Amino acid sequence: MTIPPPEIGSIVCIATYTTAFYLYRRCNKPALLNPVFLSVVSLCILLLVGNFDVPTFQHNAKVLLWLLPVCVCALAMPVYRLRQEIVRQAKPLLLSVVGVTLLSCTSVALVGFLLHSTQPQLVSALVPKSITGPVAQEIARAIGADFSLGGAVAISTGICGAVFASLLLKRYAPQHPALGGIAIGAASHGIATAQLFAEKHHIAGTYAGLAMALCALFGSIFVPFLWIALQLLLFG
Amino acid sequence: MRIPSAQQLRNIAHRTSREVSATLVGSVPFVLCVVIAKSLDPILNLPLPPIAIALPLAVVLLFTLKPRLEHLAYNNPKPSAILPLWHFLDQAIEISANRLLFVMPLCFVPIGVGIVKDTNILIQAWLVLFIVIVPHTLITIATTILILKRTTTKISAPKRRRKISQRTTKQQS
Repeated sequence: MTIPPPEIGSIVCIATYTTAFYLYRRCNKPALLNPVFLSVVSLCILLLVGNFDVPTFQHNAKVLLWLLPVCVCALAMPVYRLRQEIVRQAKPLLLSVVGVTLLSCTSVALVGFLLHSTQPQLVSALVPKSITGPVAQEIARAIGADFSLGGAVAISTGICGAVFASLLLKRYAPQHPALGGIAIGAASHGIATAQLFAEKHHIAGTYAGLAMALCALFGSIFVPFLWIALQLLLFG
Repeated sequence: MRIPSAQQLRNIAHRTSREVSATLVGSVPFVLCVVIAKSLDPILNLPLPPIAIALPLAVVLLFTLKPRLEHLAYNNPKPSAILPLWHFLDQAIEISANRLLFVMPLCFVPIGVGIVKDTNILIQAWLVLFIVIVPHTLITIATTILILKRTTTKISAPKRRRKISQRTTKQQS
């Protein structure tokens, strides 16, 4: 197999994303033509059909992977802009973070148990799905799940949230972008937060970023203990 | 198609170079936070990735740096020859943050492609994964928004009652 040129992965990702973004705006922003969703699906099909090695492709997209933490740090800017408003919304923010993490982990474990009760490893990989990808992988590793599957489920949840973020915001919280942002960030973490900023929902995006960070912190401390309790309850 | 004049081209080049330099200079604080977080990660050995250390660092840095820059750029009582530099730095951080947030979805694409590694398990357990990822996520978001709408009015209600009672006592007196 020939060695691909360096950063060919980044170039392919940028070209695919730009095309998907152009199509999204051209077709008047339908949910299913979300640029991230479309790019990921088309690249997955390309990698499967072409039988390309995924780790090599990701290694050749190092520039984008390096840029991601820098972009996440840029979330500090909207937090600074809305600092006074955030202090006022501190209570609902903290309550929702705790509530969504506990509710999401418990309900997903129950659903997984009802459908796949003979496979506790699969069920455990579903538990940290509402927590941001890298933290979800660490939690999956801590609770004995397949950390790669845990990360894949978390990423898929984020993409699903990104596809429907705008729709949910318009339907359920048109007058309360802060509340919508908190719910979307707590349930669908980084990718949905990025989508909110790309669609210029800055207030919702700021709260989503905060909720995502607090969920990651709360989840990394309490989800392993919650899983022990769920395991005893569901699997004996 | 109209060909732009030399002056227009010069203006475009000047604006573009200013935007590019502002983006590069303004991203320095964010890059610094990531570098510090990655170097602290093996020392602290927390069960969290370096990004979880970088974001709070960026918040702290911005909350200390930005008010100082704004004061130097806009509220500085002493006339200064380097005032345009403070203006530029202040705007550079804003421009850079907006640009980085705009390209953030693109940076998730190589990570999203990683789900191909688990194709076998995804095909085997497709039903439970579909139910958990799609309807469960949407129901969680919608339920959270509805609950938050109810609870935020209840949380803010006691203060409203206090304000009304304070107003009535003032009127009576």
